[in-house]
Amino acid sequence: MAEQVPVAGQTQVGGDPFEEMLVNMGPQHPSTHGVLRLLIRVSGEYVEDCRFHIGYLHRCHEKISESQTYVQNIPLSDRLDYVGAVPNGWAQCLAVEKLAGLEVPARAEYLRVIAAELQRIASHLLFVGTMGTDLGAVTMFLFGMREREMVIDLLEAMSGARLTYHYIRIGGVARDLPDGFAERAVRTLDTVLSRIPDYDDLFTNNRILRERAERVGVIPAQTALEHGFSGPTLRASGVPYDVRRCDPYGIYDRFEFDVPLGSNGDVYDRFTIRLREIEQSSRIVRQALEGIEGVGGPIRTPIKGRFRPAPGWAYAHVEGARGDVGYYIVSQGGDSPYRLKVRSPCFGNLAGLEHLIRGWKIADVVAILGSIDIVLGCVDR
Amino acid sequence: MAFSLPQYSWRELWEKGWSGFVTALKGMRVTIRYFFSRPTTVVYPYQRLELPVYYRGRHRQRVDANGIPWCIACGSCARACPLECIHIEASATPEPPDTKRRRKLDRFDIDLARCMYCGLCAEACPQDCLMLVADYEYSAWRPQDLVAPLSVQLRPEPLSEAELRYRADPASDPAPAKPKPPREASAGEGGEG
Amino acid sequence: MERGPIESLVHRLFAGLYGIPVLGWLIPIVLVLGMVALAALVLIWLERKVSGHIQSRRGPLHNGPHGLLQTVWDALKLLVKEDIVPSSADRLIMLMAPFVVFTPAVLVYVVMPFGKGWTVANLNIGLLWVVSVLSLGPVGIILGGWGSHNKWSLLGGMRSAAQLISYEIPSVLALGAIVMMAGTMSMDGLVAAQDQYEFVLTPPGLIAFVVYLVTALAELNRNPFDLPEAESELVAGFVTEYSGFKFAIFFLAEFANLLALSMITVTVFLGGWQPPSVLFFLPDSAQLPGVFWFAIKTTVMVFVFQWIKWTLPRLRIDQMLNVCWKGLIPITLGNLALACVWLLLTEKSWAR
Repeated sequence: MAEQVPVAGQTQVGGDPFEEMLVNMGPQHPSTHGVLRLLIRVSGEYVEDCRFHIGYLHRCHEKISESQTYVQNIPLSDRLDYVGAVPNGWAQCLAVEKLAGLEVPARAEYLRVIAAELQRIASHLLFVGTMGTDLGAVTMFLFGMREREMVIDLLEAMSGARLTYHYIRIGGVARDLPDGFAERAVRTLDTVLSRIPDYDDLFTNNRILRERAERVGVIPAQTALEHGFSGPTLRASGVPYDVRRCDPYGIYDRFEFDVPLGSNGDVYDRFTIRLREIEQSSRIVRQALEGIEGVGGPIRTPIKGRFRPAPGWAYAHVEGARGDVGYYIVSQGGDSPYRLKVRSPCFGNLAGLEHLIRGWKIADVVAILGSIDIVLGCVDR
Repeated sequence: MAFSLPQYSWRELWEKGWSGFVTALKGMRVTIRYFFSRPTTVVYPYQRLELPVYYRGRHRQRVDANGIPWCIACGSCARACPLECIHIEASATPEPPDTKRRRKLDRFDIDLARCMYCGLCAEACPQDCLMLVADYEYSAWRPQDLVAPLSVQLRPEPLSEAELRYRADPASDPAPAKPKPPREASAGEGGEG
Repeated sequence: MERGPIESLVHRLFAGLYGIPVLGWLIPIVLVLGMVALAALVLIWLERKVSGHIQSRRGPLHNGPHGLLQTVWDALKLLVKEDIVPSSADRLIMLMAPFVVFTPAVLVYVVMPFGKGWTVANLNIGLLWVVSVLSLGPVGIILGGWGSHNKWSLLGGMRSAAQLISYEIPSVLALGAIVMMAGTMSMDGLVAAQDQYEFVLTPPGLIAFVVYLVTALAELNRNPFDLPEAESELVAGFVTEYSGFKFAIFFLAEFANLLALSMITVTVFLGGWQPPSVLFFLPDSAQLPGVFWFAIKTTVMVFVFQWIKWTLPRLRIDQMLNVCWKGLIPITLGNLALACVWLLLTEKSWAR
């Protein structure tokens, strides 16, 4: 009864070459989530072949990092995955702290968790909104943005900025929580969670969405692993890989939370798994806010004099909103890193997707691309 | 085409159609509720959002009672900036009024268009003179007009209560609940770029 | 009485110049065209306000009270924009397409009963006129898609044409049930047949109403059927290559169509210019003129269309066609049978 799942790497359609058409979803496009160019060869409505062209947002992040000091590189990490900025900074700081052998104070660990999980909620709310826009329900976008504004206000109170926070620093965090933050945060989280049933009524349980998203863009678990997916995209296919569980960093092993897992690996699973992750992240934030009350102390380990980590290399990865963000830093004892390489989750997700779009319809391409939740800043660096 | 289109039975079609109708009505119930409730728009510029004290907006320098900025022209902020958007020119003063003020500030330009408002300059300032305050309304018609000289950073209005308590260096921020342990040696990290 | 030369000319223009009452027709036509243009502007404003409040924001605010002048400035802006035509496009076809879409939308207003005796031309095949004129719209869309010399526009135009001609069938069948129950195709006659109670309150009428709502959304290329047009993948569908005045005409045509279909729905299903039958307790003397009720009902219908648009996601083209052919057509055919049964059952209670 169900549609055949296209086998990766093999064109299934095999239509008449006379009917084929080369269409270009150009770099400027309302729904490619950034500057991404897709060249699609379609046969009627079905995609025969497609190529992604990236690099429109390449800003030479890794090269620039080689000529700036470690401290000056931290704000640049926010600009990679600019929608989910906090985990990028965390990964970089973890790598630098490994190189320099720095310890992070306990209070700072809690603050890092609060910031990262709030950021995850904000990023997933943006995803929910853009998924709505891609599929035609513009109202969903505005609702997602409205909730996201509340969460971003919390992050703004913590760090002073709304998108590029520069909150996590080498050795700790930038600032402590302002007065009354805990009550405000709990109230905001309650409001956000109370709106999720509205989303369900409006969008998630809508028959039209389910028709467009269920059994569309199915990525089996083995294929997802082979193609290098990570993050909610991988978990929707049924692979229980979450860096917070598999390779814990910070104090994540102290918190109780579930890692939502999908079963079908279709667009619908990738959508609902992020809604569930919003709920789990708010659990973590509540636990962290309770846990931080008894912890005093500094929020940053001070660094004496010039910061020159010993020669060597370090790799650290964290669970970003989009997947596994990793930083590989090589130091030769100077002020600046010798090499800084970013393992970007969106790059892996997008690269894997090129083969997996074949055989689906053009309208599904938009849905699948939206469900992977890429940010071109992360892809291109 | 090699694909077979999904073949649904009449019963499945009927269920899909009916559930489509019902879920559409449920969605419409949500929408009409929002239609009749208050919009969340803040009608700028008639209303404004209240920003936190530590919002990283425009740069501002602290001045003493005589209107002279605290700046000692050490150049730490210019060295700390990742984007090199602070340009400082200083010269030696003939008669230093106090031991710290050995240099006179000739030029202190911050390119507001280039700046990424990361706050490293404010953290690097040893005098707690430079700060980023909650001001974002400084549009200009040309990019050249966004290079803010010192005079722009010394606004004539007095600092607000919150701005007076502003500390760029977080190690000296009071923690909200618990009493702080005695202050550790040195402020922030890497004051030099 | 002796008539002066000017007076006799005016009399002849009204009464008949070689048999054609020029002014007698000209004034209503000008009025109707003016109403359509004004209504399109107001509808665009209403759409933006309604969508704003549904999305928890406000819509246009600053230009004019509550943003009423915003559409005027937008229309002026479109008019002064440069008219860009791609070099490889077919200029004549690109020029014709907006007008081929716009004209049927306006022609429909000729038979609309705005009030008692307020119809421009009371054809006794009024509904047939409406249906056949509205089916000329897809021609313009195909012309627009093809003439733009753009693959995306072509895709959008083809999809839209497929959608529009498919959805005419259930639309006509739904209206057919009503025509059976009313016994006449004339728009005035349909309104008059609803003097006891509206057709929407009868079982076949209710089913036909729901089906007609769905097909109207499809005919208007609106959510959830706006794949050819506002699809986020096709940029703007068949209007991608249009700018300036021609784009304004497409836009105007869409809203003129919206108003036309709302008015048709009101006339055929909701009782036209008569007061709603659920308000039977109102004394006769308090009844307001027919135009007023017609305007209220049309506004409600327009609001319902906008409400649906801003709630639902989009259907894919094959799902859309499945809904039409496998869903709506069997329902409307069954509805015809139901209407026959209904007529048999209620023949005695209706003074037909």
